[in-house]
Amino acid sequence: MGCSRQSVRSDAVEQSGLTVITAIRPGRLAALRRSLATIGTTIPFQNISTVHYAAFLVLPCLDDCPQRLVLETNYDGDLCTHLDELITHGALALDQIYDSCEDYPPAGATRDAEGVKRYFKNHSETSSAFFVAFPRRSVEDIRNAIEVYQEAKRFLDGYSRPSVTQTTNQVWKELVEHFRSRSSVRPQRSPVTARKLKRLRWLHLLFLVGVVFVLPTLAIPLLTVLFQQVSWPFAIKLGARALLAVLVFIPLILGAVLLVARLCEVIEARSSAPHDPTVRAVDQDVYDGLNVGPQNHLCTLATVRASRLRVFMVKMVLFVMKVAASKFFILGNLGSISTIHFARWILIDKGKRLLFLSNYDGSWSGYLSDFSDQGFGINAIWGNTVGFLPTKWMLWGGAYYLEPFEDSVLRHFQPAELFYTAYGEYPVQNLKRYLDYRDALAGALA
Amino acid sequence: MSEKVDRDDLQGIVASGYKHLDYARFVFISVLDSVLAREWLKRRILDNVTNAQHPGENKPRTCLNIAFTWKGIGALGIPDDLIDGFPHEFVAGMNRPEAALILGDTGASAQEHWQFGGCRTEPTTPLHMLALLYAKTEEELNDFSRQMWGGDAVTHGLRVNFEQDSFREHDDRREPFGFRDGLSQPEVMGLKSRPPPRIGELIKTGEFVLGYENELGSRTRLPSIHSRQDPYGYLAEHPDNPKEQRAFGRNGTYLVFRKLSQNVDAFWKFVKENSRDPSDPNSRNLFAAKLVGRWPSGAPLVLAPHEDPGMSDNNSFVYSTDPNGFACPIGSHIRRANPRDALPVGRSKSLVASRRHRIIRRGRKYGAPFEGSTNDNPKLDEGLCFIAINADLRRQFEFIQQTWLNNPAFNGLDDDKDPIVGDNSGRGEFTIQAEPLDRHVYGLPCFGTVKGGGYFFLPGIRALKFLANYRPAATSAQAMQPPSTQAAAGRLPH
Repeated sequence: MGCSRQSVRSDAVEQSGLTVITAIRPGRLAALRRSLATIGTTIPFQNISTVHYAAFLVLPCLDDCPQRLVLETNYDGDLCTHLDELITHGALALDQIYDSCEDYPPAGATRDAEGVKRYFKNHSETSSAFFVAFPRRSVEDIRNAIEVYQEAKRFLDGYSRPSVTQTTNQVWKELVEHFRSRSSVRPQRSPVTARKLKRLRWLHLLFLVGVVFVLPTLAIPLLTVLFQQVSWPFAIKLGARALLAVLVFIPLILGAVLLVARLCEVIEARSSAPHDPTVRAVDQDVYDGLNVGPQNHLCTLATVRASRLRVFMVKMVLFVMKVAASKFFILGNLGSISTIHFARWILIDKGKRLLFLSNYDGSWSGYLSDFSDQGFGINAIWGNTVGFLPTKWMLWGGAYYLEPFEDSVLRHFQPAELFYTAYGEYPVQNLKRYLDYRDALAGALA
Repeated sequence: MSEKVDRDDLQGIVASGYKHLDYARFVFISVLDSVLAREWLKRRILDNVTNAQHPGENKPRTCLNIAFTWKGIGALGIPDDLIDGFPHEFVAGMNRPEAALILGDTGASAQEHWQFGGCRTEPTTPLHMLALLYAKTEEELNDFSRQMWGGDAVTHGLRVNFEQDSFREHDDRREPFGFRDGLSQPEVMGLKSRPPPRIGELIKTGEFVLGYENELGSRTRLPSIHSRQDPYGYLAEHPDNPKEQRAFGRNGTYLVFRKLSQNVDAFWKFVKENSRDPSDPNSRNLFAAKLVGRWPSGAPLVLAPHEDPGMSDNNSFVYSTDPNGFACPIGSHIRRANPRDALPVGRSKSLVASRRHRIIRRGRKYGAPFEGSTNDNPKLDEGLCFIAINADLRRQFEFIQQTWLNNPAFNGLDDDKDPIVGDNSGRGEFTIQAEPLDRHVYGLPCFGTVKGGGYFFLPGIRALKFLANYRPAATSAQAMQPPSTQAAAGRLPH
């Protein structure tokens, strides 16, 4: 089974998420943990230049499934190539780890690479929504930006300043000259720049506005004129009415959604809290897993409420998040949160459970506090799950109360057994600066 | 809208630093016998503990406050599951496994090297109680001390593990590096002692005292017990569940104690080596001020970027006049410990955010030994007994340490930790913003080393009475001793 390589432009590279979930053989958890511990954080990902972040974690045993191993990677390019790379560089390690999982090809990655690829593909889950801080920026691109910035800093530190009348422009010229003639580090031309992404975001916004408002306003008159042989003035009146209808229809739809959510909330408040199989004891494991370094991993597993309405709503909200993340949140921020590198939401077990995986900067408490400040997003998604705080009209209440929100996250937290970062000392905000700086240098050199 | 703070029930150190008392002694105690220890609390401590009432003209010549670790509460005979609602940070303590990363207690500051409170000393001499004694003269301090345990702690079921003395010249507010300290304290709603500042600078009571509204608009979780465990009504009713719960934590708070040894020689040596003109005292002071954010006189650098204007109590300033850090570097100590309006989220959001991460500081410097001092003080060890008071360890003290002070990427910096208290260990970097180029200073050593410490709960007076009168018994009805007629907490037995 060869790789059907999509025609990849030599420049822009898309980022994707791989989530492989496999059952752990009974009694093999301890052996699995040992394998993960001995392999450490540098193999197999260090050699794979297209992986941004990766993690292994264990999902607990639940009513209808055994303990499961989750492999999460955030990578550049197409899946086929990514799997090839994983297997090429990590065959031994993967064999050691997956030996503890059910159905893994007995020949292992060393002798049955295609079999292992099939195994990963068959056990992978599609994300309902996926956020990337720097879309179209590959690992190589980001690393180049970091290198260039550090080289510039070194040059500027050693720069002798003849007088205080040197202006910023003069210094900039010297810096460009340094990269042109002397430096061994080359600022690469990136397929995207912040400016291009801003333009793209505007385009997306215009497209959305166009589809929702302009299309009915223009299409309806045009179509009636063409097919119904009416006069233009009448058609224009129709167009105005269509616009009015849209302007009324949208708030009505939104209002209806909120109302439906409120009804669900009221009914649920009256009945006893349903059993939450994904809740866990908040022990030292949790606190150890929450704080591992300057960048951290946060994974939560929640159970979606059993009602059909709730299932529908979580799918709908995740769809909105998917569009928002891929079309609008493309400049490093997810709403007002500027510390997330990658995040994904997945509905697993036939939509019964919601798995959230994220890689972010700083402390978990700061992270949750940022989420709590724009709690409506959290409420809209997790308000549909069991054991979350009571929300009001879908968007209010809930996560806005920081302490109970923290408790609820801790009770659903799944610590990562292994966490790999390709550029783990550089937060999103700094990378933004480095990328802009490097892009400006690359532009000046061209 | 502010609730009235019950000053009778609040321990004094929250409301006042006892400025008029120059001598202090911090006593770290283990409980050996819970019955004797509770008796000691009842007989020696309850009558002497200082509350937050205004003393008026007759300022007391001695003050006493007392706080407990989680282990200490257990050591007094209180069962682990009796009090509900203590946060993980307090229960697991300042030396818990993940704390080293959060607080930057690595290298020479790692808990293996601590004189008290760390993994080396906790197994044999655990921290249970911290008694904070203050006095006007050293004689009164020693007398007061003797009064506490009458010379022999063991007879009271206690062992004194470590004593840290502190002395400062009257009105000398300088810390060991020579900088005036303690100038920036939050103005607490309900506790403000000076004429009210601009209303925007008042911080909600609940940030520093449990049981009141905090800056998030809610109340921090209040440690509580079931009503039947308090049949004699020492404690107030829990606001959320008055019938079934009693608020053990009301008017209590959390106290952070960290003994920070300061390497004064290394500091001034580094300053001299990196000043523009090492022979000029003003140039040296300017460089030192860049690290701290204030001149040694206390004047804020952001208001006086070139020359020390002299002693200043000015704390009413913002950083938006200096957004690039040309006057006061972005990574300087005070700009990190309290960014005011300078966080990268915009002025007003930054002010709101800053208000959620304040601490009351009640530290005292140590190092100058005085005659009769009970601790052996090697000449070179001086520093700060850092004491902070906050209602939420995670959101306040630990947040400041982790997200502001020890964060190398604080506010857009690349690799700078706090120059004064960050865990720099020789590889530290400090950026002085300037035009056209920033200046980077490398090789910053650690100027402060943590020598010991812990997280303590500073209970309200009623909670203290509850602890002192607790009696483990066969039935819960016998668990409490009835209050004596004089010490009645104001409620009749049921």
